[in-house]
Amino acid sequence: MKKLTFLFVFIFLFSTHSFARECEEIKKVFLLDSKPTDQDISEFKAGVETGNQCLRNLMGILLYEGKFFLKDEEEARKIFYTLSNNNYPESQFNLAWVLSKDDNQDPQMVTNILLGIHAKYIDDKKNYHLSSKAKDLGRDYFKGLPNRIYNCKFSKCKSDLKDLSSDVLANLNKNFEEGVSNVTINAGQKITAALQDQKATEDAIFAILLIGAATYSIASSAYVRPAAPPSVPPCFCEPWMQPGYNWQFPHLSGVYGFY
Amino acid sequence: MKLKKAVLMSLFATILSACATPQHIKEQAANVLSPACYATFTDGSLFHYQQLVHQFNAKVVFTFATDENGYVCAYASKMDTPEFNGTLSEVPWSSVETVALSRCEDKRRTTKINSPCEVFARNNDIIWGKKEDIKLQ
Repeated sequence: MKKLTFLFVFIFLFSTHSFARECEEIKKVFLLDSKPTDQDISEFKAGVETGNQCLRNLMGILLYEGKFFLKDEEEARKIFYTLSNNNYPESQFNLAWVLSKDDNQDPQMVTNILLGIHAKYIDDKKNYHLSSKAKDLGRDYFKGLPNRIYNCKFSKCKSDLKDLSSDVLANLNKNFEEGVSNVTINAGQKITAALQDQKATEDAIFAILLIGAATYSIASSAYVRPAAPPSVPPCFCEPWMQPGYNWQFPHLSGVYGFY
Repeated sequence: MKLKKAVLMSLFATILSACATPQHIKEQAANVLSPACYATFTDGSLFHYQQLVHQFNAKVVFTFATDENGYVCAYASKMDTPEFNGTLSEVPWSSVETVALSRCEDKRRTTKINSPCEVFARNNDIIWGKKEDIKLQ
C-alpha cells in the first residue's frame, strides 16, 4: 500500500512537470514562427479543450495576432479576461497589453491595471518579469499617448481620449510614476525587513549557542576530576593505629583523604 | 627581503586589477552616468561595486536616475537579500533588482529629479538602453 502511494505521488509529480514543460514548448513552437507538427497541434487542441490555462492563453495570443487562426481581437480579449479572473498571471498582463493598445480605452483604467500588475508581482519570484514588463509597458504607453490623442482627433475614437488635455495626461503620468515608486520602495523595504529578521534570528541562535557554551563550561568545571590527593604522609605509628588507610569508602571517594 | 616586498606588491596589484572595470564597460558607463555615479560604478575597493561584481557567483545591480535636476544612483548585491544565506543557493535577480531600485527611489525622493530610477547594469552587463519589444506573454 505504501509502495502504491509512493508510485502514485511520483507519477503525479512527473506528469504535472511534463505537462507544464509541454505547454512552454508548444508556446515556443507556435509563437516563434516555426512549423508546428501534428503532435504539437493535437496537444494544443487537447489542452485548450481540457481548459489548460497556459494553452488557452496561447490561443488568445494566436487569435489576437491572427496566427494559425483568423484574427479576432474581441475573442482574444475575452479569453484574457476570463483567464485573468481565474488569476492566471500571463493573461492578466496580456489583458493590460491589449487594453493599452486600444484607443477607446480609458487611460485611467489602463494605468490602474498596469499598476496593479506591477504591485502584485513585484515580490513574486516566478512572475517578477510581468511586474517589470507592466512598468515598462506603462512608460511606453504614456510616451505614445500624446501622438495617439493627436491622431484620435482625426479618426473615429469612441472614447474621450481626443479630449484629454495635456495637463490631465501629465497628471496621470505623474501618478503612475509615483505609484511605481511607492510599490518599489515598499517591496525593497519588505526585503530589507526580512533580511533584518533573518539576521536577528541568526543572532538569537548565536546568542543561545554562546549561552549554552558558557553554561556548559561553567557546569563542566564541577565534573573535573579532582586532583590526586597528596600522598598519605608517612606514618611512623603502629599499624593498628591506621583505621582508614587502605580501607574503601565508596561514598566518600574523591574527598580528601578517602580514595 | 626585497623579493618578498616585490611579491607582496605584485599580489596586491593582481588583486586590484582583478576588481578593475573592463575598459569597454568603462567607456559605455562614462557615456551614460554622471561623473559621481561613474565613480561609484567603477569603484573596486572593498565591498564596493566592482569588488562585489568580482566575487564568486556575483549578483549586483546598479540603478540610476538622472535629468536636468541632477542624478542619483544606488546598487545592491545578493547579500542584501534574505535569500542569500552564505551557501550556493540561487538568489533571484528580481530581489536584488528590487532592493537596488528601492534604494535609488528612496534617494531620488530627496531630490527634485523627476525621471524614475532604472536598472543600469547587472554585474558588468549594461542592460540600460537595450530594451526589447514588450510582447504578449
